[in-house]
Amino acid sequence: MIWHWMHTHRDLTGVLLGTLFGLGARLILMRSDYRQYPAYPHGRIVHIALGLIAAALGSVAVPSLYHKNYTAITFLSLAAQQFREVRNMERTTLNAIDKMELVPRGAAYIEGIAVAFEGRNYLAIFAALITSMTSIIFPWWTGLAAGFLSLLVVFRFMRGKTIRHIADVQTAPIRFDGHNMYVGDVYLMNVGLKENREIIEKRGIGIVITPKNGNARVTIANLGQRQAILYDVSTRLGVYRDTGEPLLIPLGKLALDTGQLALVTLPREYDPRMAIAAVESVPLLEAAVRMPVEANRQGEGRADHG
Amino acid sequence: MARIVALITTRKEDVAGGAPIFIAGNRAELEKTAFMLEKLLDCGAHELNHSLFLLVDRNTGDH
Repeated sequence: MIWHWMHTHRDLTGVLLGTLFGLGARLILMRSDYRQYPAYPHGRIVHIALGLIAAALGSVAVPSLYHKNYTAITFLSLAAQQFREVRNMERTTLNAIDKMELVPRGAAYIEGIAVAFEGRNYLAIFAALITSMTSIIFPWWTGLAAGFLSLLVVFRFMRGKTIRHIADVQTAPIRFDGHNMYVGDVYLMNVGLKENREIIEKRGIGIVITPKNGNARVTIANLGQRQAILYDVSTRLGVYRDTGEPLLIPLGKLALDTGQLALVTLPREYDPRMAIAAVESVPLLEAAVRMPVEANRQGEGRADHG
Repeated sequence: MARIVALITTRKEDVAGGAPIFIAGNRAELEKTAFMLEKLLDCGAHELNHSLFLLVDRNTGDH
């Protein structure tokens, strides 16, 4: 009975399947992970609703185009407009929250998250489009296969690179030479008060990040990437910090000669292995990734640049 | 850019200038004043030399 209905109402079946898989794609992309965002039901509802709209737009476009309603393509541009708004919305919210964080995310991280949210909606549209197109052109059940395939593609897209791919992370001792603080051999800052020095010595974890190549060196030198690392470590291990304690702050400094990044973190839970794991799984920010090695290679023997 | 908010010193003949200057009688008093001011002003206390602490405001600049 239902099979017969699905054969006779191909457009509707396509739209439904497309919407379903599009929404599925959006849901897969919305694990509430260690970055704790979006952490609350309302934030989640906003994104599920937008994901549903994205999926519906993607899947409805196919039958319209199939029946030579070419203006339906404007639908998709409408969607693009909508999702640029999503990016703005995320940026505004996160910027507003960031002022109230003990360890802020930083502008680069916020921009990265905002772009990711916009991009995820496009992936939902993509999944819906593929599913609905397949199930309308071919027998409806091929749409199921296409849907699962597109979910796999979406899943693949979700995995960006992390610090682990570009650098080695190790702990290093924090030591004080008088009032000067070092992690390994890297000078970090001058801590004037004995009380602060004692807290940092007792609770701090020193970490040294050694880049694997020239590209990685530029990436971890980026201030936004550095702040993202500090934020993620502070989120996962807690932070021993309050207002009125300006020097109890997680901090990163470069060893200029080697390109290593030395960090001091003040976790609530003293667990160096966890701290290393946290640093290793920090995502690489799009704003921080540079490829000077490739750029210089391509540039060789080519004076002008278009 | 960081900004010097106050100085605390035990040798007042060494310092002068625009920021408020706090004079301490001895090293213990110097450290105590620095501690108090750090919490009050939310500015980091840095030891420039044995007789002089700077309170530096980084909140307004990039850190």
